[in-house]
Amino acid sequence: MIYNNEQQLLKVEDELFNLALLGLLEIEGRKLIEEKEQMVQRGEYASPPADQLRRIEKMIRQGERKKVFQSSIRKISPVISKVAVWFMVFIMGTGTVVFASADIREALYRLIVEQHERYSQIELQQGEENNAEYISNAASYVPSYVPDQMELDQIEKLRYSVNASYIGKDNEELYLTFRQIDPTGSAEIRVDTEDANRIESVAIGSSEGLLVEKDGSIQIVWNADGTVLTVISNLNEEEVLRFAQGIQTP
Amino acid sequence: MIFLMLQAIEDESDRNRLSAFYLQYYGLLKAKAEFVLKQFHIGGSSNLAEDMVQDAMAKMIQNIDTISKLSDPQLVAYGVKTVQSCATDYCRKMISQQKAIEDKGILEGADEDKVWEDYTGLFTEEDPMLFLGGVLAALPQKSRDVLLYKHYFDYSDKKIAELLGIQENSVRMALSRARKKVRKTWAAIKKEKGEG
Repeated sequence: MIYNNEQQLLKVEDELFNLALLGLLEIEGRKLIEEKEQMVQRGEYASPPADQLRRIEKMIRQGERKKVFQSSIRKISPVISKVAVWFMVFIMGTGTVVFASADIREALYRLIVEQHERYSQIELQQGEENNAEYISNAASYVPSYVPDQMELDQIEKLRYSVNASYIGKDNEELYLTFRQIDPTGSAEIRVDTEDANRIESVAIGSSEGLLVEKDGSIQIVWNADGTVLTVISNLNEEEVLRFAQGIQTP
Repeated sequence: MIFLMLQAIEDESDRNRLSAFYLQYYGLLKAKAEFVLKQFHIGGSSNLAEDMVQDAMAKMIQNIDTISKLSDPQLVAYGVKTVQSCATDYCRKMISQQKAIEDKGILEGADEDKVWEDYTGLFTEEDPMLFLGGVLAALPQKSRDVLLYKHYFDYSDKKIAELLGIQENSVRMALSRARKKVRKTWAAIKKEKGEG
């Protein structure tokens, strides 16, 4: 191969060096794995205490949620205040295939043009403590129903959104994330529906939302007086819908 | 226009991998943390080593994008470097008498030619990653640590120098030497294949 300029040469050198670094990491890792095996054979190997393991698993889940939040907010923040008129469009991952469905087109159209009325009132079930935490994070909406098996994990206030995470009380595999996004201008909302099992419109109070079932999770997105509300969870559809329908102004 | 991606929230494979890593390598990570603590004469505290492991896991969780690209042995090395870094950081904060552990200049003692000769045999290595990695693996331990902390942890030269008890210019020197070695290796391969 001929490298005909200095830039190409440097690029190749960079790639070789990166490859070498990966190799170094691999070699060191293999030695460490051997070292670990020797420790096991000598009976010197410690196992993690159960409470530590649970703590680490919780940290991993929190880290994942934070990553997703940050990723979505990074996308929204640079351009959020540029356009004056609010509207939203759902772009389907599978594009033409999904848009070919008349039902979905109609649902999307209604989502774009509909002027939403106020939500119907639902009796508050959630403890005031959690609501206070929502309000202290400048949330415009609070859930009035939280499934029994779930508990609030954290509420995070970002520049354009408030994100609340719930996890299972006894089963930490369960999650529910509620986000409220208050963009100041026009927004195009992109919902990942590629290879979704199901996409349909659902009634959330007097609004109409989009429900997407994909990879074992249910996602509902709707517009409430200019605030985009989303709920994502791996609970069953009935519970997720009930949670969504219970969301109201504090 | 604003593009907001609302994605499926969790990547289960990454989560399972990290949990499995913790379960499987907790003992090794803890032993490495204890070793560092002992070096700084803060040994004997099992709880402290556990804390170091937890700190290391927290850092790894933050860097999950990097981790997801690593093979299993690479992940082990990354985890061990992380716990060593956490433990060293902790110890340095705890110890006020830093003179004894600063300015050792250990890197300056590296013998480049000897290292090069030792690894010429690796020309027959089939996997180029392992072959090139072998070239770097022949460097002294502190030089190897410099490379990994710089490229996988994105630490500043100053932070690396503090962690390893060396001078900042030694960090730069180690990086430069490592690049030079890889470049020389590549040149030798090209020459051998008649491309040089």
